[in-house]
Amino acid sequence: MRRLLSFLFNYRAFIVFALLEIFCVIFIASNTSYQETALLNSSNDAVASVMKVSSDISNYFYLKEVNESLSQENSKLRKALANRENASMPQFFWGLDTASSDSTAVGASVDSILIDQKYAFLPAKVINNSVRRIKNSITIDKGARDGVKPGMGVICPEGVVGKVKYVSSKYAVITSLLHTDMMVSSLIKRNNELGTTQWDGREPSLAKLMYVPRHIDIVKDDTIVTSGYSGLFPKGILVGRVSDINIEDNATFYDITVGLSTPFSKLAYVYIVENKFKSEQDSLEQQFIRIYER
Amino acid sequence: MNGRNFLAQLFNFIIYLFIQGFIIRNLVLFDVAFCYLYVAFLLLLPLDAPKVLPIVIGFMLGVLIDMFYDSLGIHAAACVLIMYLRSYWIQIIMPRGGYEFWMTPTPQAMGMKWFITYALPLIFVHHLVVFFVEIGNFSLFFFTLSKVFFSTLFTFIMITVVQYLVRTPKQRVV
Repeated sequence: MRRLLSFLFNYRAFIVFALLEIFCVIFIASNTSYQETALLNSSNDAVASVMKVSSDISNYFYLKEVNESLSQENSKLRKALANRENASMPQFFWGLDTASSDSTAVGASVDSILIDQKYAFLPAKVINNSVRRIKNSITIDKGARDGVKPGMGVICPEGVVGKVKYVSSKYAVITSLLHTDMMVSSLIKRNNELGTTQWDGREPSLAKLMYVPRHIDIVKDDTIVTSGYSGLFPKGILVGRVSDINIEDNATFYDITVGLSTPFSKLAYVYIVENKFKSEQDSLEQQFIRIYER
Repeated sequence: MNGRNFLAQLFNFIIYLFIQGFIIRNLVLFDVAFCYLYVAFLLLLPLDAPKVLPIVIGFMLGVLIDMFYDSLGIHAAACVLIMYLRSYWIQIIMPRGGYEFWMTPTPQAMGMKWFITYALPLIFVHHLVVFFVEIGNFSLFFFTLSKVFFSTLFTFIMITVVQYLVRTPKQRVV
């Protein structure tokens, strides 16, 4: 016993070191589950409230740009209001022109009613934001008491922003689109072909559009929008424009670079998307998966 | 460690945490050089500190820093590692004749040459862990390595500059 104790004492530094490293590994591995770690991130009250002060100060210097973006959005909303009768308003709202959907005006207005019922939008202010790291996140000043839940989509007037990850009572942390694990189901707007947008960790203004097979017709400057299939974002939110297309001789998929429409480094206000039918869609899809796994 | 010393260290801890978390959190030069100035607090702990305590302090500071970066565990893992290595590293690079009681691991007390040998490898290891654990794979190996390299230089320069700005070099009777 005494020998054991003296052994432990001699190696105490190593034992403490190993134990703490194991803790860290558990922390890192549990980063994906949001419930139990809600205290140890920037949605934490103490951290977020001081961040809010520092963002209030630094935002002061961006007031002009924020004003411009908000007034642009305002004018877009006014136009949408005027066209409300014959156009699909939510699409008009979130960065899409409706000129192309005129031929399907009836379908569009049905869509618009559905989208009105299906989605609610909650405005929030950005209090912490990063774009230079590999796994970037954004902290906003709306939390559980405003109805924010993990897994909700986040957009801004210019396009897609990300997905809510952690929630405390007053604040929430968003996984930015500039996070290498974040994937957004996307469509090429011109021909409705499906792809997945994912950031590769390099330029904050460029992402990759993946899994577009080589028989698909795609050209430079094609508009990329969200598909709406995952229920995270409404269909048709702007993601960006194709800026570069490459394909290797024997590759199955294109190597497509998309210039993102969202100015991530200047984010000031965002909208949280609440999909009222999300749980219904998920439970239905779960049933399907369960049946076919048997 | 007496009471006054402890209070001074606690004050340093809070100051470094605050500066890192709120002021230079998103300071990045040329897209590759990040500044993790808070490592200075860990490096400047007394030379004769007991073995276990610095590791625990490293863990606490790391977890708090992680809260600001939403990267739970990454900075903590890096800090715990360098604090474990630090006690051995101090022994390995001991100057001839050992350490005196008044010596602190600063460029003023130990000389620039010693400080570079002491701090640069530890900062490098810290940044290596932070950047590679963050990305989680080796897909952008050389890009990440360049980040580690330039951030190490940037952090080291900042730490040294802060040392010369804050601490007035004291006259020592050797």
